[in-house]
Amino acid sequence: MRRALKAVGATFAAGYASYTQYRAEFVLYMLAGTAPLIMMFAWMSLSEAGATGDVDKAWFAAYFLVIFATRQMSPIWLIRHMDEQVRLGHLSRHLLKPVPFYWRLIGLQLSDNAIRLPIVLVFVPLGLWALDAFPLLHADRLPLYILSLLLGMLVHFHLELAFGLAAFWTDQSLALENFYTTAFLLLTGLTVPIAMFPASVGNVISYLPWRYIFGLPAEILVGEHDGAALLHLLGIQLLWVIALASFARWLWRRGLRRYTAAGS
Amino acid sequence: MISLRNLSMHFKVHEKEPGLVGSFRSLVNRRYRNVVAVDNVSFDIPAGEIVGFLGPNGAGKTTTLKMMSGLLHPTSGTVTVNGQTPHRRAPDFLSAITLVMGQKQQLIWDLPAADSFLVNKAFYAIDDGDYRQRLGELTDLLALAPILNKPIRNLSLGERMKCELAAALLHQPNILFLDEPTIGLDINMQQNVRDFIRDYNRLHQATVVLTSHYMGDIAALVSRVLVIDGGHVAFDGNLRDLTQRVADRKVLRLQFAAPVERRDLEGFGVVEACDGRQATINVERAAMARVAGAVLAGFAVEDIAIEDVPIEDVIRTLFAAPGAKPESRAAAGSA
Repeated sequence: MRRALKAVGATFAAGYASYTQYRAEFVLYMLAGTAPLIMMFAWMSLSEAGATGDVDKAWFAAYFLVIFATRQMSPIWLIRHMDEQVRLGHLSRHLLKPVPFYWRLIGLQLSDNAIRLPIVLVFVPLGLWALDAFPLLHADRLPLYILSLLLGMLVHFHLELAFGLAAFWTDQSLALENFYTTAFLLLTGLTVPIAMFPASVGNVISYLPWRYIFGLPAEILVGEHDGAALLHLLGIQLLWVIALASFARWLWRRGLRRYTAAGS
Repeated sequence: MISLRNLSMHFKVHEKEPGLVGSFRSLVNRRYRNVVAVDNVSFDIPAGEIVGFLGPNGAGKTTTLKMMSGLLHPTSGTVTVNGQTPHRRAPDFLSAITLVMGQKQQLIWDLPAADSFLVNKAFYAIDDGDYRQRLGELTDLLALAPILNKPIRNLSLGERMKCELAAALLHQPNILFLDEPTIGLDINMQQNVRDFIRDYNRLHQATVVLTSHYMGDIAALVSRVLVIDGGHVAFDGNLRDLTQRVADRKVLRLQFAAPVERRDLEGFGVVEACDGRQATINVERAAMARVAGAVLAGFAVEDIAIEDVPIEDVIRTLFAAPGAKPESRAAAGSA
């Protein structure tokens, strides 16, 4: 485990160095992922037009700014990465290392988080202040938000890893990425708050993993869910982490047997 | 110690006819072909030996290397390296081996080699003292000092290859799998890499398994050759034996005290070159003693040398004509 942690640290440092190697790209990279902000303004306009019932525009501002922060802290694009690793044989060089590839992915992911942290710490509070949305946040729920954010990152990481590992079987897991992206955009709360879906659809979404990536953490910080309902949702989020991590581990072991190390 | 027993690797390959119709057919009725990349291969390599894998493209050399390094799960048979099963990828097994592929790199493209070395230091749990010492040795041996802090993308192919070798050897493995380690390098750099591999083998008693299409690599480094063709071991022995079995001729080089006409030499064999004072004649192996004696008796010879056919010619002969294979698979299996 000590070696794994050292490997995570070294990969983190190398990943951070790679991201910061080109200064212009570094700034652009930090600014990527603005879809929630665009959706925020769209939903605020709908609210002003009276199309969102009793949900006012300040709530949308608070919700989408928290979604933006949550998205920035979970910048995971593993499906494409795993597809390249498996299909082009890049995985070979990592399989030869005495620390599991999983820890390299974790290290790289953390370096990506570190790149985006300044955006979250500077621009999100600024946005909340400018749009008068600070009062809608429940500061006392910050520890619960952080817990749910971390669980959400793990759900996101293992869900994308599992989809990416399909490359061992399909040779082209990017086809699955299209299906995944549709679900990701609609069901995570990134573009549509889960509360805006009809109740029956919302119930179904609650048993799928996507909501627990961004939606639940943001809902917690804007004061949604109380008591038993909140614990229930956090419990489902934890179960998804366990289920997806186990599934990804199983896929990895099975997939390696099929690995052809093509092109390497 | 490396040991392979009846090792085989089969791949299922999707086959598609070219063009739009072929694509549609492939969608509706997919056809697969079973490709036997390695077929029932057995051999042992004792610790410290340098072995060269020879064979044409697609012969199964790299697939065998990949199975020995744990990247591929064999379809059948067993392989043990240092007493371990490679594809289980135990950390102590992976810490004891390295695989260098001439056309692939493990270095981080946008960063200097020194950053990649630090990553390897952590992955292989190399302590600070050992890291400094080994990096110092490798820097001296490979003359890395001027390039250590330049981004990899700014290095020449030869410089990158030197950094690759350093990255692959920082953890001081005792088994080296080298797949075309000199490909694309200029002649000086090829020689540097060969010298380095030879020194590393001598210093660390490392086992080296090498594939190369450059006969210079094979001739300079290996004590034993495994010829792999069609997934089989076609020959297992030393270079000299291979030459003797494949080439039925030897080369007679002569220097004369007085000018000699080409036609006067044609009765002794195939005259490859003759400029009056010097001549090169290909002579049947069995007739060489008699021919050499006759030439010495009939001409004023200043110098004479009897040599094997160049290894490039041997290999060309070996892979050009199926009938020229020196050993049957069954015979090789006992080697």
